Amino acid sequence: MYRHDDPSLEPLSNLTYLETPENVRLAFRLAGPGSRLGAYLIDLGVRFALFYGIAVVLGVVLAPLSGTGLSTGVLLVLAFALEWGYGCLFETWWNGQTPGKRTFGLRVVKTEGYGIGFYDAMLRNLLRAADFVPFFYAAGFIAAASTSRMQRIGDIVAGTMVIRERRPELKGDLAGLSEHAPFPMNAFEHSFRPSEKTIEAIEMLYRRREELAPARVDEIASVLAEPLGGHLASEDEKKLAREHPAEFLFRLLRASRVRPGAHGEGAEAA
Amino acid sequence: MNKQGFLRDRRPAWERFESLLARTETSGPPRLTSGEVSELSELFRALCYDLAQVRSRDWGSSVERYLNDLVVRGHGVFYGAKPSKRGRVTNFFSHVFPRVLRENYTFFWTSAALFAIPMAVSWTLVASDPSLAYRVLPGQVLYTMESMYENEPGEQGDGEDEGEESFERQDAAMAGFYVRHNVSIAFKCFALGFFLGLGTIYVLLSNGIQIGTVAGYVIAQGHGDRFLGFVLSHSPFELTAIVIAGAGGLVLGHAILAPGDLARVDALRQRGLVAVQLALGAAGMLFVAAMIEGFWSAQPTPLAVKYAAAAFLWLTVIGYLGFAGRTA
Repeated sequence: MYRHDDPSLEPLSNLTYLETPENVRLAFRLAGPGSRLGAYLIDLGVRFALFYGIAVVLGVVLAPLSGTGLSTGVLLVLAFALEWGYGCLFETWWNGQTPGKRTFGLRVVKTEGYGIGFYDAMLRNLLRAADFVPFFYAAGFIAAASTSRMQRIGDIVAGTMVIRERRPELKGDLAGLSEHAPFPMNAFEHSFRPSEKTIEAIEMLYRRREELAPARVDEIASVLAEPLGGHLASEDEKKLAREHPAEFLFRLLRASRVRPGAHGEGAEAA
Repeated sequence: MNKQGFLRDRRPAWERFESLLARTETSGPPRLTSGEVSELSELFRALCYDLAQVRSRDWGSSVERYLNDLVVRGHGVFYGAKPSKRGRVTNFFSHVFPRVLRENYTFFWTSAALFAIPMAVSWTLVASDPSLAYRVLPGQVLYTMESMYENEPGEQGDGEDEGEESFERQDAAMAGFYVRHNVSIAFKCFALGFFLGLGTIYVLLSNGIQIGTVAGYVIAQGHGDRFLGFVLSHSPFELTAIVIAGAGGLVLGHAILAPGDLARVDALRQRGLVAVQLALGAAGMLFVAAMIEGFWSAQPTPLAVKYAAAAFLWLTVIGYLGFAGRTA
């Protein structure tokens, strides 16, 4: 886990941290250029669709007034409103999201972590004109690349950042784990036990095992199985760790997951 | 307590928190009873404690991520909610905007000088020697300008009805065009102020020079009355608004160049509110200008009426910006 007592150890990452009034340190996952570009393109599409949709409706509603220039005027105002108001209004009404951002699970928040207001949304969207200099968001891209929170110029001035939001979820049970015999934890030397973090890494591999070729699962597993195997007392178990690293790891996982709270207690099940 | 027991114990509370949270996140006023609000805040504090506990015991990154993200969402709800007031738009234009402008008058007058001086200079120069106009603007543009004021439709004379009709037909379209065109220029003028104010200065200077050139040229060609009759009514709103948008841009540039005791980023954030309020006010004024320009400026009204209207509108703008929102 990342320790925050030494700031120089801060890893290069897409995370940014914030300490809340409850003295909890929060991690925010910043949105990368790819998803932001994707969101931008979706919004562009939505804008065009809105424009043409409203244009068609207007054409029908204002048909009796055709030739007065009224519909042209209204359409021009509409084009203007969509150009400059689309991002601002959606981000104000949808708490920092536009249809594109929602699709990609992005949200604009203040750098203090809370939702943005109208002026924030307005600032960051008006300043797109500065980000756009000299062509297609070049200045914005340079700004985002050089700030720790990946802020384009509009974000810097408005004090906002774009984060990637996931619906948090706790994963369910591990199906099929009971096929693997629990590994006797007392087979480890001394009082060595794999840490919860290690077990979690194994769990991640376990959840992905069916997406990968069995040989590849073993290959990945061996990275972890090798150092773990070094802590084993008997040759038999070392051999298992060496020759069937995935099986070895999954048995370890079974041993620590099969009974609640079992870090070393799975031993007697062997 | 071990991890599994902890998860079993706390999970219902987290799920309850999540379901309450989901209801506050829908748009509109939060639909929670007062009891639920206090429950939510209690759950939030407990959740923060859980997160700290998971971290200190190193109970794995998936639980930590889950709790972290829940706290992130809760944090946004607890610390970000701003009640929306009714009538904010009215209040903005009747009080906030003119006040903010007056508080930042140095930026306004600087911007006005950057715009008006080049305009006056190029106007005078081109008026005395119209050929200079060709060094500023392409001949094609000048030709279009000249013919616009030469053949003012709706004037007394031949084809009166026809001309009037064809011109009126375009009123709304022209108003729409002016909204889009002019407000876009104003917003760009504002946003480009981020580059040390240079972008704003450029937009102000070049617009001043171009407008002065056109005015000097068209008047020198003998279309002065028609030109002024068209331009005078909307110019109080339009020109003032461009200057105000420029003032907003200069506020941004100034925050970067002279942040004072603050870090540049913080100075920008602090002044950004003022800047965007100026830009929004300018946009509102340009909207008014566009309506005048589209529906009134081109009307074949006698010049005397045009001049009277222009004087009235100038006084309106001065009165509005100078006095609206003052407390007694």
